[in-house]
Amino acid sequence: MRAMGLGVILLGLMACRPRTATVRVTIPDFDGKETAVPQLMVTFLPYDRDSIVAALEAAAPPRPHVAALDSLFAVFRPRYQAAAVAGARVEAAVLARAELVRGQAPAGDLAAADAALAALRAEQRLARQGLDSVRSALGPTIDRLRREVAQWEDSALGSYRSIVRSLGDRVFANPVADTTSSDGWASAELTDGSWWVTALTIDPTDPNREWYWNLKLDRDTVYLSPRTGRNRPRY
Amino acid sequence: MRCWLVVVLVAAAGLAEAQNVPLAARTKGSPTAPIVVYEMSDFQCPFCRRHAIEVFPTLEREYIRTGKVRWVFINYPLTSIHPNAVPAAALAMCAAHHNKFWPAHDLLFQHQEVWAPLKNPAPFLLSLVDSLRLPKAPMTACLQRSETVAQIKSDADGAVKSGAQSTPTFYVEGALVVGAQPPQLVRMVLDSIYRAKTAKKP
Repeated sequence: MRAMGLGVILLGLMACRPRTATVRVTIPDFDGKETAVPQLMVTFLPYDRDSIVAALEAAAPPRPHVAALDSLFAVFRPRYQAAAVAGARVEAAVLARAELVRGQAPAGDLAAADAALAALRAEQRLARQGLDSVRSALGPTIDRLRREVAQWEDSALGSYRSIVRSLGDRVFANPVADTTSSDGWASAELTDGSWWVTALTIDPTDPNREWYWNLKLDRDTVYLSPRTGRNRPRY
Repeated sequence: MRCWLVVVLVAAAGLAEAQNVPLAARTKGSPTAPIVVYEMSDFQCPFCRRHAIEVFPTLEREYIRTGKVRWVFINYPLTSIHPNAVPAAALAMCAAHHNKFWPAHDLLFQHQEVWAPLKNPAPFLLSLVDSLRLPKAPMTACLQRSETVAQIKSDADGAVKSGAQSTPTFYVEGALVVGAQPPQLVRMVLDSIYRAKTAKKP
């Protein structure tokens, strides 16, 4: 090597340097309209958690009670959705009536609105009763099966923490978390290297399902939406 | 890990501004050593840890103790990705007032994986005060002084002015060496500079 003077060029290989990654989270609401998810924790990981989980699950006995929970969820779902739809209709009718009052509508219109509201409230009561009955009938079984699934997860995924800790050490990076803003944006300053972004939120249309994302950060801005995520059962 | 092909020529003025802190207390090597290396480092950076633990002891044995190199530590905490880097640097800077910068430096890097992920690293860092046998009251007072953080920021400002964008970065006689490099590469660099600086002129 020639003697170095001012300005000799050297290669740098392994260094800490921040870069900004930004994500936006949106999921469909009851009307199917894609809506921003606020206050959701988004985690940036220096490893692919799905591949670790998949490997651990492959080495374990099958997840228990999948079929049983699926069928229980299938019974629960229409009752929940009926109650949710009935609730939304009552809410809309209450708002509509308030508009009539504000606009000093004729007494006849107000009486019709009151009657419609009363009918919707009756429907809502029925839907709630249906939900409550299915909840009390199925809830304890679902809870019991979920506890057993949780035990299976503790056993099957028990070494996850130690694996990711050693992976974090190997790639010289730690997970970074942020919470989405009111319009669904989250960001983080990350060191160089490969990163994945992961997030999980309950499906507002079905409390036994969730939206899940685990995406490789191959660009500075990534959208966590129904197109990039998975809607899966919450076992 | 993405490679950084970074070459930055620096003006010495940038680093000179960082010298309003007691550099002697965080300097190793002879004042007359022909080569001066400024290490711009972040105590929470894993690559700085790699350098400190895997490479620096070799360099110390071969170049610093032999009088070839004087090594100066400059704080460059990357606060956006390393929230505990400043408290850790503060511990080392306060230890420097008691001539224990380097033992604190070593302990911080040795235990980096313990304190780096902590939400509140203060209790663990204070436990290192005991391990270092430093006087607790003056250390606590020093850690709470705003001047301590101001000194660290002054270091970081100097590092930025010198052209450093990542850690560790080494300012070596007019050039920036970026990243934790293996000993053999650092040897090549230091040997070539040493030869150039000590060669007898005809």
